[in-house]
Amino acid sequence: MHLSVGAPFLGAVQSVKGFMTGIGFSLPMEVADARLMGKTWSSGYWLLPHNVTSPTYHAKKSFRMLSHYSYP
Amino acid sequence: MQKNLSGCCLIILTLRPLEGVEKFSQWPNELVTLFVDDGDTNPLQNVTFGIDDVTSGRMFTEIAKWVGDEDFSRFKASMDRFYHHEKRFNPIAIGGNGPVKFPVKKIVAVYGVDVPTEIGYRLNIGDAHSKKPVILKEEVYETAGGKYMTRNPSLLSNMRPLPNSKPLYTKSGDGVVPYASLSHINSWHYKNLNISRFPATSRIDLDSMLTRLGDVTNLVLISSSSFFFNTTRMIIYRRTKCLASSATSLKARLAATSCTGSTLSSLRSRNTTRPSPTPPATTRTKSPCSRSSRLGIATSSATALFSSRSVTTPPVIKTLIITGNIEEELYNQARAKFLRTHKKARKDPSATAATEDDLVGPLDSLIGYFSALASLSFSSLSTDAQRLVKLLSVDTIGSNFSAPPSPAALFSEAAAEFFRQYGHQHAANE
Repeated sequence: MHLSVGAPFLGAVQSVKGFMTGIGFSLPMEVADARLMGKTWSSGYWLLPHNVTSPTYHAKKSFRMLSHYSYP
Repeated sequence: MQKNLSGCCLIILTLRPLEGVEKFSQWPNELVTLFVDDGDTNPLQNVTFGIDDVTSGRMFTEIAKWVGDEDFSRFKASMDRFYHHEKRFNPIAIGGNGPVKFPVKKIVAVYGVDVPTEIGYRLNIGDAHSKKPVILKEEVYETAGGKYMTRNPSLLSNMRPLPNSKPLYTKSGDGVVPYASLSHINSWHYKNLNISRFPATSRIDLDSMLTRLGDVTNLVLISSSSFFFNTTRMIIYRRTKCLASSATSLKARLAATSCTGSTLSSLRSRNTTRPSPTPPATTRTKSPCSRSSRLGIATSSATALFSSRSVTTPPVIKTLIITGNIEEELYNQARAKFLRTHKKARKDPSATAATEDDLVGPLDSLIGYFSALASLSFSSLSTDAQRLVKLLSVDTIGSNFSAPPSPAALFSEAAAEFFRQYGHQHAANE
């Protein structure tokens, strides 16, 4: 069984903020220092928002969205 | 021969793609907007970056040109090295299909919706080769119903709708992850689907509010929950040097609020002459921060251990450590305010969830208390810190009182409000 809780499948826009101005996550450090620290982590780019441009994918997804009125 | 079609219903589903899907994009067109002031030739122009600019790294290259900071060039180089030039696995490739369905029989996805979530940013150019090459100007949120709203990153600013915006979805994300990313899993399932909805309440995020307040005042305000003790919250109040652009905007805002030096001096003289409910800061320096008072206060000063390129003078860090469960205090006050305003909610115990709007009043009192204490301990410092304190007391408190006669009256009113609530506790604990 696969269980995902709030998984960012296609990234999150907040990671852009982390690269631009920094996010401290309430740690006792300045957000500008958090930005300098975060640029050394190569895994942060995976969280950048990315797009799915396949027309087949969008056709499938829009059909499933419309076919379920209680789409979550 | 014509068949009798009575009693048979033919439904033709005309699939109209959702708005924005025609372009095969799941994200808004303007993700990041950079406002550039290039002197007299180009007074003010904005550079907009979309989703492909972010993913390909072109945004970092362009910003490196405008800002003149080398860090953004390094971002692009790292991105190319670890992702775009990686032939085996590149999850952020342009034109990719996203994460595919895992080869398991049962898939459970849990996510929250309809919480305001950041979906874009508007940035200003700061000082190159400093710690803040770009400064956050506005944040764009997707809210419940899919509407786009903007607000500046100050503490108590209200959201206002983004003009000329077309929402892509009818829901918003969970506060951090946008709905476009959360709903990707809906491209995996077929009709064999069970959907369960559970109502949820969002807790007040004090940490993000303090971070926003720190961005406005160029200070560092941190609430550390369970970092040292379970019942201790620590707030660090540190003076940093104003950047040039921040100082310029500071002067403009001070001029807009007609704040003069005479009111500052009158505030200082009033605070020094009147009997203060709090003991002077010299006695607090001796007391450690691990006092057992409910909301004890300890201040200490230390020389900065690290140096910054933007700081020309030796920085002095003033630290204000507040021990006690501030978050619980604020939450209780917000809940009491909610119960006062919504008297019907007393009958329904499940409807006593306080929202962020209910926190405005108690947080104003806390900010007023910060201002009062800062004006005492910062009186020997330069005028920049006093201006910051003044800005804090005018802008964040003054905008939320009904009749603001003068900044000095607002200042004393907010301070007195907090001392009425917490002063007796200090006296008892002393």
